Amino acid sequence: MSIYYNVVYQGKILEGFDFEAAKTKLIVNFALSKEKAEKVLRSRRVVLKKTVDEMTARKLGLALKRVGLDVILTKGRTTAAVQPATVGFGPETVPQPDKISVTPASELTRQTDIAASAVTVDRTPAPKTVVIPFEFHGSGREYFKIWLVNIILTILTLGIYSAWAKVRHKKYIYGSARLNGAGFEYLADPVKILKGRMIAGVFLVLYSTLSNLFPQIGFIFSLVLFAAVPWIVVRALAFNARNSALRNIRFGFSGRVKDAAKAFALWPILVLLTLGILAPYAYYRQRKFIVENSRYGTTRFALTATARDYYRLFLSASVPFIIGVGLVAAVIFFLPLLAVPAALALYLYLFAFYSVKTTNLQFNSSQLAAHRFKADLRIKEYLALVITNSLATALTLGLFYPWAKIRTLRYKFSRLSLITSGDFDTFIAGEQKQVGSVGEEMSDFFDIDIGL
Amino acid sequence: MISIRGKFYDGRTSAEVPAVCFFYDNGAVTVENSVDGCRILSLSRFTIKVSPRLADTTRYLHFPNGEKFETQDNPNVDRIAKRFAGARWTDWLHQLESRWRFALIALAAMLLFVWGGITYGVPIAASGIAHRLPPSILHAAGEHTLGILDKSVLRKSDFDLLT
Repeated sequence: MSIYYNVVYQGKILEGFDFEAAKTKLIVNFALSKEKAEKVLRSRRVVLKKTVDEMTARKLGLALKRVGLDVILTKGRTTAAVQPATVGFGPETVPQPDKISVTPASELTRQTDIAASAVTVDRTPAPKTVVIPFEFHGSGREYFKIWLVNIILTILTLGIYSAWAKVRHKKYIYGSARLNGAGFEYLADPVKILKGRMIAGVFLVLYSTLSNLFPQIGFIFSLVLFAAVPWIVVRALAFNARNSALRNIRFGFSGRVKDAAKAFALWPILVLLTLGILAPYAYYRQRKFIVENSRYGTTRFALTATARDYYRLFLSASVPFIIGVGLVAAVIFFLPLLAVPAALALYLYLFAFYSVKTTNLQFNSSQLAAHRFKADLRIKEYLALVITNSLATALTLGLFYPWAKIRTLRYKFSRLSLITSGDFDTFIAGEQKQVGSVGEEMSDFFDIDIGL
Repeated sequence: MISIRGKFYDGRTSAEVPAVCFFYDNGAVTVENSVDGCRILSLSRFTIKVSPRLADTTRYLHFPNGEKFETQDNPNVDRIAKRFAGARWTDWLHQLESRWRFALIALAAMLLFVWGGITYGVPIAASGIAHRLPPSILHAAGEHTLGILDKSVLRKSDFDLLT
């Protein structure tokens, strides 16, 4: 009986590598086809090489780690002879392409079950887990003054200052947020924003004027705008991410317009055609598109939530919805004078319910390399915040808005943490591409909600 | 010489180094690791971009090769910015944003603007636009409006044409 080893890819790309780079290296170093390389990288857990001797397994494991794959070696016993060493270090002695086989991990489990001695050879100690809460130091008083000055200067400069106002507002919000003492930074250039705004503004004026005068042309404009939504979404997300930084490493977004079209046009159409049955799935696809195309430096975020999680969330929302609608109907019938406040209360409750549940699910299932997020927003607390903010804003004719914004952000940040597993110092800066601001400003002008 | 404590980032990785930044009278700048005292970076001239003051948020000093120094020490950053980078219009903005007197004047001006806009601005703008539009557009708009009214609101009169 001899000992054999399997080389198992754990479904994760190592920190400091990204999907595209790992794919390219797999294609170049291991002569895999593009499809096969993608299949390997997208798999959750596969055996890349099975039943080989220890030296072969170690060499292949190292070669795969060098291209960015998180692999481990597993051990078993067999009566058959194991494969001899055919792989080595470096590009000139990398494994032969036909030597990499892809086997589902479930098969491996069966093999090791039979062997009854499966052990992981990776002896590196498990990284220490540390919970780091996000902090928010913004103050309503400070933000109120910034907000007022922004408004008055925007009026006095006939809107030109609005670009600087936007940057100043975002810089304040970002600069007040910290993670482990490090501040977030917003880096957008107001001049670029102004140019984007001017282009988007011209489009908006043309759209509204022509729609009023010539409805047919307005319809064509609407079609053009609808067709442009995926492009606008991608450009807006890319601009925002590109201009956000933490620890001098910028965030990034590399979603493709084609994929955005599927997420933000195709799926919503299918939702309509299926009378809403596909709504949770469409929402899930949109979240997945946004999260998994976002990067910190060269490291991509990952979303581990499944469509089933989103269906469960939407179904759980239906219970308070049905009860709430029943209660409101009863109030309308018995106490018609209270109909409006009751409907408003139902709306606020559902808003709080939906915001809390979707935020918690998204953060709790998002990962950055081995680091995870933890969001623990509570419906009662958030509802109290929403009600007091809405009342105060209405009673002060909108002047409470800056305090409402800061209170909401403070609450959200207070319930958000990063669970680091290992070193947070090894994220690598990505290539810095310039991104125009037209998409971001179009999304602002046409109120396209990307829901970040 | 002015010294500021903060964190240094090299711009290539997310590694954080506790550091002290020294600003000398001749414009030279050095950054040292505040734990072991090792020199991380030095500049013979002040070629740093200082982020503008915005309330008490974190400040960033951007070095020419992409490195960044981050600090909460706003008063000292203001001192070095004033000394080496000169006065900037954002300093004036900070003055406006940090005093209640200016904020209340801005609030009064905003309320005045909203009131004036509704009372005088809208009628003046409407009149100006109406007088500047070419008659063909007015005619087309009128036709479209009548068409929409015919379809949605109006119906055939019950009165005889002669009455």
